[in-house]
Amino acid sequence: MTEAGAILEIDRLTKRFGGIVAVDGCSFRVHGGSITGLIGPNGSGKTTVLNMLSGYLARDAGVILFDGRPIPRPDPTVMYRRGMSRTFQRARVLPELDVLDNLLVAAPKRGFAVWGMSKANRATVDYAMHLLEEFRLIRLAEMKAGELSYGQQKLLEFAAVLMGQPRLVLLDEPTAGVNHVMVDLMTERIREFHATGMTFLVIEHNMEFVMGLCDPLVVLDHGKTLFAGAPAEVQSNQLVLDAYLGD
Amino acid sequence: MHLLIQAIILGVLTGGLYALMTSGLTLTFGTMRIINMAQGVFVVVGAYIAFTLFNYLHIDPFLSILISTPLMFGLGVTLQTFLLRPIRYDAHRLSLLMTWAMAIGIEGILSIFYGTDFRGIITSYQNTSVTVLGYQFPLVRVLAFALSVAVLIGMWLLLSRTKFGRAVRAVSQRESAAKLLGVNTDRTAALAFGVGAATAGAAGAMFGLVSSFDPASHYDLIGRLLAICVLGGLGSNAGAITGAVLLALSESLVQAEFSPAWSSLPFYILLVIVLIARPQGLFGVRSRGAI
Amino acid sequence: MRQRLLERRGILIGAAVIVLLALFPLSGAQSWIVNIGIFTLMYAALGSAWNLIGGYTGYVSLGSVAFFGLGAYSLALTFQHVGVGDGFLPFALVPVIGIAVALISLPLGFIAFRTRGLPFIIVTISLVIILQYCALNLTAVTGGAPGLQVPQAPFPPGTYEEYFYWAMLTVFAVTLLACAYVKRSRLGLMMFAVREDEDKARGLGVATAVPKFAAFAGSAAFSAMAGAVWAYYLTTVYPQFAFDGEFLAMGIILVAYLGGIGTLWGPFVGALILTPAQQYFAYSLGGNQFYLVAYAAVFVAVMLFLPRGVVTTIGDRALRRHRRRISALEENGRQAEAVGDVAATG
Repeated sequence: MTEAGAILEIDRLTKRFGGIVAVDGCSFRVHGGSITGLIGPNGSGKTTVLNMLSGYLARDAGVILFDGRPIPRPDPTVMYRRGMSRTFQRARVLPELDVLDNLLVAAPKRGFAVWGMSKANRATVDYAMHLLEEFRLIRLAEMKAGELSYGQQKLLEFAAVLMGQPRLVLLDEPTAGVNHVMVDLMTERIREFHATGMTFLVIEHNMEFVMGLCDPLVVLDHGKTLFAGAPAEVQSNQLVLDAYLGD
Repeated sequence: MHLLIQAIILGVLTGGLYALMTSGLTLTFGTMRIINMAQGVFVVVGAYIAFTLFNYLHIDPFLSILISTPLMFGLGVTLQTFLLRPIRYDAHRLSLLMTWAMAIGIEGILSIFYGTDFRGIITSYQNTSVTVLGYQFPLVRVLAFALSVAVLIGMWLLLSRTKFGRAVRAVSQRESAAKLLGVNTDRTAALAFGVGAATAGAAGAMFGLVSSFDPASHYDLIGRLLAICVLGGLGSNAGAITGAVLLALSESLVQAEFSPAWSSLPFYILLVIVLIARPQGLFGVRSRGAI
Repeated sequence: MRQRLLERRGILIGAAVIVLLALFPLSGAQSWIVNIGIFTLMYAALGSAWNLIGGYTGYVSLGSVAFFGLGAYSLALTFQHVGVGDGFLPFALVPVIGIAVALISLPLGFIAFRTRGLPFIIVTISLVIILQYCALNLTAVTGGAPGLQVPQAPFPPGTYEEYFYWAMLTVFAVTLLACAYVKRSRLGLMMFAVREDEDKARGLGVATAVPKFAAFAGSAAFSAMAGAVWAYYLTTVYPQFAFDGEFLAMGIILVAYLGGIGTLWGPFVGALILTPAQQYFAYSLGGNQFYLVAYAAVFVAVMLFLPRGVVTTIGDRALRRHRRRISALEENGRQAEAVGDVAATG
């Protein structure tokens, strides 16, 4: 995967729900090794696009290319194995399982058999503990995920989707409902993993967070790509301002 | 050929009755997201009430529905309030057992009062038929069909034109939002359960006219009603009606062409086929788990 | 380290319980008590088997009954024309029946797993109904309503029940071992993930079909084995009791709930409480229909007052007491320090 190559490319993506066209011929690219922001007013179709990318929703029309290969029938497991993982707008964890187990579940299959006597091999457990340390959750390793605060659950969810060492991580509003200490922690971790070559596509409403972290930005409005470019360009673009203020 | 059309006629007529029985299930599933395993026994209770009123007070079963409906409504509301409301927050799994416990308990009570012999309601017009174009239309079944349709229309009006109906639809679609809008979801659930019981009771009176029954009859019934709901799509009224007519038709046709013993089987085979091709049922909606 | 010590203790206790159960019939207990023991173990086995699909994987299934009945009829049909020899041949066949029924359960599971949640429950109920129907009507094969006869075991009358008791205990022990294995293995982790949030699990790369089918087939295998032993014990297999979607189905789930779903010993505890009670009710009230009302009342009481089950509730209380003691110790420690400080400076 080269620096300039597009790890993700969508072309005229469309999704209708009954009479409503949520995504209307949307096209954009995500360059490998970037932290790309996906922004736009409420209802512009961002999460729907994410759902189609990650295999949770079937598309009505359009093409999605991940690493140059088209995505067939929607299947989240296939996407995960191919190296794309995602978080949800409202953090989803496995509540009755330990924090550690929440990570072990997400470990890739290679390395041990399903039928073995232990939940994961040494290396996997070590990596999971490492991630928990990075996300400052190590003290909570044996607590049930459901007992964590919302912010802690968001961090946990983020940590879990990194277990498979994905190449592209889709984050759906990672800072929503989270205090600034945790936002800073997330920002640090995103930068850290980005430095190792991971690509991020981040949906966000928190402009401060987005402007400081993401480049380029893709702006959606009414299910279409309105504009794409560097943060400074986006901030001064009249179309974008109209879209946000006009609605 | 004549036999075939006769069977179709009977099937459609009976389908109306099944549709009425199932409507309560759809309503309960929509408002409380639970399967009411006691729906079958509500039908049987309705049959016993009609039986009692007929045999001791000589009230015609169709007329007795006017008396049994408020009784069954009250029974439904009471049961929901005392047995289902407390477990509302782990409703999915516990309610299966709880409604089943209701069913068994009521079966036991019926057995104590009425014994376990089979009963039937035999009116003077039991064997009267109207003959149209050479085909027989048994009066009892025609009246049952007409009344079922009437009650179903009544329910539809209730759901679409009244405040209660709006509350039911709101809770069915999104309970949390309904609460925020001021809908008393607990009361709506109780009333909905009552309406379901009432319609089941009405269906029961007619059921008692076309079939013999004992306290254990609910078991056969609930199996078929549930299969109808899954085939049609849980929560869909159109689905329930379609499924009901399909079940009744297939039973009637198999009974006429082959033997009564195998009458239910083709429907279950149809259910399997539909599930493989379209797991959400004929009219159901498929969700893929993204929020 | 502490985890492993706890586990070792758990294994020892478990083994001790099994050994005690095995010795029970030799303690001079009367036949009718051993008989209750057989049914208790049967419900414990069926409840544990159900736990695999219902408790661990979160798919409430009434299908155990279908496989129980298949196991029962398999044994009966096999011995229609074959003699039972010294009486132990049918027992040897039980594991084979388990495997066979597990294989049969796979295509059935394929149909059932097209659905989830409530429709799934209904599909499994329908399965039981269809099978009961077939058993009643395929009289050439199954003997219909009058039932199918199994040759009687040539065991001496004084100790007749004991062999069946040990056979059922074996089925229960094997089921329990399977559940214990599942709880600490990756397969179990996958099952729990499916239960907690199946679609999220898929998004984390879990191949959800594997735990689902494993749980379904495993549950089928153990239920069938229990059914086979039951058939041999009763010597007549009736369709309405082999495929009893009313009492057996609900009894299995109730046992699991009463004990605590998703716990290892829950179904056993549940069976221990419920089965003797059930037998007592049937005995003293069975003549009239009060039995049904009493049974329903027990159901309702359990669900209103012990919805999380005995084992889970006890476990929770113990955990809370433990945590309270720890924080009390901490509090004492802090106070002592404060006093010490004051003493030092004062």
